[in-house]
Amino acid sequence: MPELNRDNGPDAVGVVIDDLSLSFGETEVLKGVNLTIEPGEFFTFLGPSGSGKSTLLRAIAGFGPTPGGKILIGGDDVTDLAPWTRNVGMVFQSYALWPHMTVRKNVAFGLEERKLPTREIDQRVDEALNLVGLLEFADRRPSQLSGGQQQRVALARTVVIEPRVLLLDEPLSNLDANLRVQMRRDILDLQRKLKLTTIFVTHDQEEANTTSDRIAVLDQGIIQQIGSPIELYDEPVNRFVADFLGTANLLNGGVAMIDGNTVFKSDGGMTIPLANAENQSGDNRIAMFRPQDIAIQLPDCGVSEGEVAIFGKVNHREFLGSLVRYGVTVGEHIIAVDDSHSAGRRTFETGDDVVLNLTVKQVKILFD
Amino acid sequence: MKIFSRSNWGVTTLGLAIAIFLIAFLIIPVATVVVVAFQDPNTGELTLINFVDFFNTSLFQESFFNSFYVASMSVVLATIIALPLAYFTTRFNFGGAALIQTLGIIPLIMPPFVGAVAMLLLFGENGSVNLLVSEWFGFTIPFMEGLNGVILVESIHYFPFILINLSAALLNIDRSMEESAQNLGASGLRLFRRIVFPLAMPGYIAGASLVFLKVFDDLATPLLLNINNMLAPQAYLRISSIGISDPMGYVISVILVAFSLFSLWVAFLALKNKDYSMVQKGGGGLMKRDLRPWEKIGCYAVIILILGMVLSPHIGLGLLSFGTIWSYSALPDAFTLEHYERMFSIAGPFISNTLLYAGLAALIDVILGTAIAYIVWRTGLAGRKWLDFIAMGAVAVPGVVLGIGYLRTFVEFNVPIVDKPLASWWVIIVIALAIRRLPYALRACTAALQQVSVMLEEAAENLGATKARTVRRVVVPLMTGGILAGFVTSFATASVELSATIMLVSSESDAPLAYGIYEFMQSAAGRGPGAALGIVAVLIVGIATYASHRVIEHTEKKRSSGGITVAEQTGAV
Repeated sequence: MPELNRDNGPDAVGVVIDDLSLSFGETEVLKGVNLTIEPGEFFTFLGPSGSGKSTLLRAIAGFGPTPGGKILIGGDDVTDLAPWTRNVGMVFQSYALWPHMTVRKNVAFGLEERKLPTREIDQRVDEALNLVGLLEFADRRPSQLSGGQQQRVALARTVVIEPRVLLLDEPLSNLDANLRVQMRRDILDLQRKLKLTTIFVTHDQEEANTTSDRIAVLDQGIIQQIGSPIELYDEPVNRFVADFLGTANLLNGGVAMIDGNTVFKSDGGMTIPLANAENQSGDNRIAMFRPQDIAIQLPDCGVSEGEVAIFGKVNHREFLGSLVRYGVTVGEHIIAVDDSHSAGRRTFETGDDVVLNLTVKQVKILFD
Repeated sequence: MKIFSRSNWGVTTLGLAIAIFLIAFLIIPVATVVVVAFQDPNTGELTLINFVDFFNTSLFQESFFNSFYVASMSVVLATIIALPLAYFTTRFNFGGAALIQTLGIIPLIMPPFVGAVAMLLLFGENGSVNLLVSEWFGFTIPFMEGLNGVILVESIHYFPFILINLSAALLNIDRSMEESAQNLGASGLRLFRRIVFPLAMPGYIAGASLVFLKVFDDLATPLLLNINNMLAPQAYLRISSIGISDPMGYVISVILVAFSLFSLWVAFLALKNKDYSMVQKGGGGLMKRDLRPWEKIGCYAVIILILGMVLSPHIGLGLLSFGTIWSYSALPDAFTLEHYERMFSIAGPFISNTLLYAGLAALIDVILGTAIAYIVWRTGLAGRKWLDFIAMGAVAVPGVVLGIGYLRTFVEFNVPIVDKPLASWWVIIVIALAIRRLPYALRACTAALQQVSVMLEEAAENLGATKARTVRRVVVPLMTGGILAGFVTSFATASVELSATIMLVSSESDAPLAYGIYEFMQSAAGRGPGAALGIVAVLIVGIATYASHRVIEHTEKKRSSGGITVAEQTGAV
């Protein structure tokens, strides 16, 4: 596949967000956001709707109310610059292709606004359309293309101007499931090829995990945690991150010393010994462990080294194909437990007495 | 919306220019009229004496009552015409639906006053219908007797307002509304009374109050039918016979504006908080059933009767324009082209004036309309809502009031180069038409702008286009259909406007077509050529309306062609 000629283009640049806050009238949408995105990085803003992730992205592009704080792109302060002077390319959720222009006209738009010579515009539009595999559709109108094709036109229209940063606002949410997986690989390929600093906004953790170098998890206008997908999953810093990325058992309670051992006592009557729990004593603690950190067994099974046995009763189960997810009643809690599944493997029924073997060192204590 | 100093400056200038135009040509003239109505004509002090005089004069009492009576009865008659038509299209699977839609457009392409004289010849005491009726049954029906004539002509012209609003309201009721009521045990009349009626009511009220407003304010129809004891004709006659210092014309103007505002307020209350956006995808509309054969015959009978009424002004006008002598007979004695020859030999300037005035007015309207819509919906300019509000407020100003206001305000304002008062310069007619039609154009432009997603603009800005460039390359091209529709609506209605222009025409050579028709129709000998000129007016409006439909259809088609047929192509990037 041909490549855009990046030889003359600028090198990848970083983005720094410094204490950014922003309100719509009375409503504070961003509350003091700090971030550093490295040159060439694929960085994701992940959060539920209303978390401020799209607002943050739009602020980088120059849309929305004027924010407090600073936005630096490649070291330049762009906070007060108009959108059309920033040279950051944005792909909109609904693609925002202009229906009155052909595909070629759409892609040429940004170059025309930059007043490049016609010959260069033609050449670069061809290259960009070729890059996304749509050269033969150049003379169609957007309405004559499928959703996936429109998405690629939007991408071509954005990268053809050689933006300093590529912004993607939930670009996959309007595609069907199969196409979404294909598209996200294609976008990642393109990003690696063009070495473009890219910021991706999504509410879908799978999308975030599969594409990103690093992720910032946002909730209520505040960055909850920044890290690689694996770091966020394994070492969440709070209840929100633990719960938002994957499934977690989260028990409220306190950490105390009993007979020289550190123990977590939940409000619902569960006691878990802790392996490494320095400086974690006190009330208002959360014990976090994932469903796959527990083995579900018949009550008479033994316990291995480093495990603790917890007795309970199966409350319900969900069959998910590669695994069975049980809800097991323990005290006042219902603990989620994953048991991997293959043909002929034993399953439990609702009401069965079971023992849960929890690997102690997987239990994380979070501060509430 | 972020405000950048550079683009902000441009928007502020534009907004200010529009505000000055609206203040000069709408607010000041109307305010002048109101102030004069409350002033003692001799001392200039504020007083209610003019209103006391007004209500103590029996002619004015009668006029006030007549105007109110005519407007109310027109609403009733228009409802009687519109109700069955709306009902047929929304409740039955019915082949005549297209016919009904046509019925809803035909009256609008001919202003009521143009057909008024022809209606006299068809339905008057010695008109075609009554001649036949008296021959067969020995009595006559007073269709056109006095106020009845105004009521009949106005309701035939304005019933589409009710038809359109009521049909839209009924079509908006989702089938699931009706089905869930049935599911919960309601049916028949109870279902209609508790679900269908309340949901359709706001649409009906909105249409009905518009009809009331239009009829109450209309000057030309009563004038043509020679009915002078109504408010608008009285205002015109006082000003044109006694002069612009007579306070009664101003008092009547204030009453007309007050009633217009009142009907708009009723419409606003009816529609407020009643945005029942009910139609879900795929559903829509009430349950429709097929008609039994005898029901079908009944429906068609009603439709043909109404079609006959709706077409009668057109038919009458056509007969009048081609007929030689038409008096005390069902049809003209013979047919001739003489009236057209005579009309074309004199009426050339009328036609060219009309095309010039209406064209310029419509152009002003779409420019203002686009600018106001953009400022209101896309910028943060302080006071932007007021621009919209004032421009739409022109709906509540009857033509005769605007005319009186212009005369009073601009009579001493001398235009430098042409060296005559602005009030008697032809340009003032263009401005009056532009102000009168601005609400229609503004509504069309606003609707068009709201169809353009803000994201399409942001995408352009993101790729390097400034606000101004974005407007030029993205916003305006995407609004073309709506702007064109606004232009044609303004043009078509302005080209047959009479009430404001009749006050502002200062010499025959500046007069537009509508004024010409009025002049011709004053004498028996002029009726033939007047009707021929009326036919020209109908053709201009009809062709403009048709052309806009075609253009809008064409742009819509181009926008969405082939969108569905192209198969999903899932190739690698």
